Amino acid sequence: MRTRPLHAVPLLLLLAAGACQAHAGADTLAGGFFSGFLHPVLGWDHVVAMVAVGLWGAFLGAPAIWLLPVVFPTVMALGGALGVAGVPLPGVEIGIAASAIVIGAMVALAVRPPLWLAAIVVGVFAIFHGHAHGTELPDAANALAFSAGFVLATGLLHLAGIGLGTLVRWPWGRWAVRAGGGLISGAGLFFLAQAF
Amino acid sequence: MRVCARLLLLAALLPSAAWAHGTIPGVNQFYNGLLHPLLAPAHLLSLLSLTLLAAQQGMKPVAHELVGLAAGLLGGALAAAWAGDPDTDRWLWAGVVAVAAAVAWARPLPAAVRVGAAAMVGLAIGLGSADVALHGGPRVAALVGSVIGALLLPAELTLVLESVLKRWPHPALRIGLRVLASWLLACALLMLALAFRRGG
Repeated sequence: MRTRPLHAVPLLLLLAAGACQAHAGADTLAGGFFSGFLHPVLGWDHVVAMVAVGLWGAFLGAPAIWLLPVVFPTVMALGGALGVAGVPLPGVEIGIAASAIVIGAMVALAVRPPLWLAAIVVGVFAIFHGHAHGTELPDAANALAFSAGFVLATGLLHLAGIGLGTLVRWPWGRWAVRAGGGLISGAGLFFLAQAF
Repeated sequence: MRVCARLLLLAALLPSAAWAHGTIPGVNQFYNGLLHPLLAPAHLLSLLSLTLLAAQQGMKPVAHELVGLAAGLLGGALAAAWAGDPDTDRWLWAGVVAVAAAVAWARPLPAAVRVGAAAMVGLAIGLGSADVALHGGPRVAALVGSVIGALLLPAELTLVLESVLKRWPHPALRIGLRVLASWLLACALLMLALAFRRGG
């Protein structure tokens, strides 16, 4: 029997059924996962900053292209742990907006710092993003699903940035990526203005 | 199509069971124990992190993680046969953080460290696999099942992962391993923080 893609459709629907039935909120697996997944995705300030991390990694090339996306979730979880523990972190929204401004500017200006410095810059900002996610975690009954959701979403946003960043192999793509960095930096300024 | 359909069906059936996080009605205690590592998130993620470490560090001449895990599991299960039902989740989340950090760091580790880390994880899994509601034969059957399940899962996954890494020795796969480890680390660190918050 030859493989026909249509055969897989009912099976895929079956896979999706659990998520549809759950549809309730953070107290179920699907609810917890999706509310965690959507937390970074629905906040534009998070989205642009995560994409900027991927863009900058791609712009810097190996090993930064994969090291920054490894550093970010690790340090983000430290910030998340602070949020879970109820340790206040002043200026979280400002820090998140600043992450978009600074990392976007790094891409726009084609700044190439040493790898350790790039990791520190990304790591410092990751704490603010993690804190924002972590404060939501105690309310999620299915905490592991929530954590997995937002960690996965963060990773996918980095991947999106890396994907866009691979345009740097062409001269026009290099300018496009730098322009993208400028847009992200501008968006960061907008978020900063909103934070005040 | 047949293989693909079976895998998809299996995947569709697993999540609801996996998140039940308890015994499955109508299933004997040995089988419940066998599935326990899949049903308890802290146990599952600990075993996954050990799997990543074993696959990354290599299995020649032997996967030290599996040797250490076996020793720890046996010790933990023997202790659990008489002990109560200690909550070892915090230890396991801390173990995931440490092991996943080692994978993300990707430096060669001495055999003693690999055996020791796996033994500690095994001990915590063995101790945490006991069910206070069970006594005598069913309790022993559940513990034996848990030990076998907790060994089979990482052993099989390590074999698969290592053969994939050997067959396609592309650097991206090893990088993917490190990225995956950083995600495990992040989840475990948050769960550890939450466990301390809820536990007071």
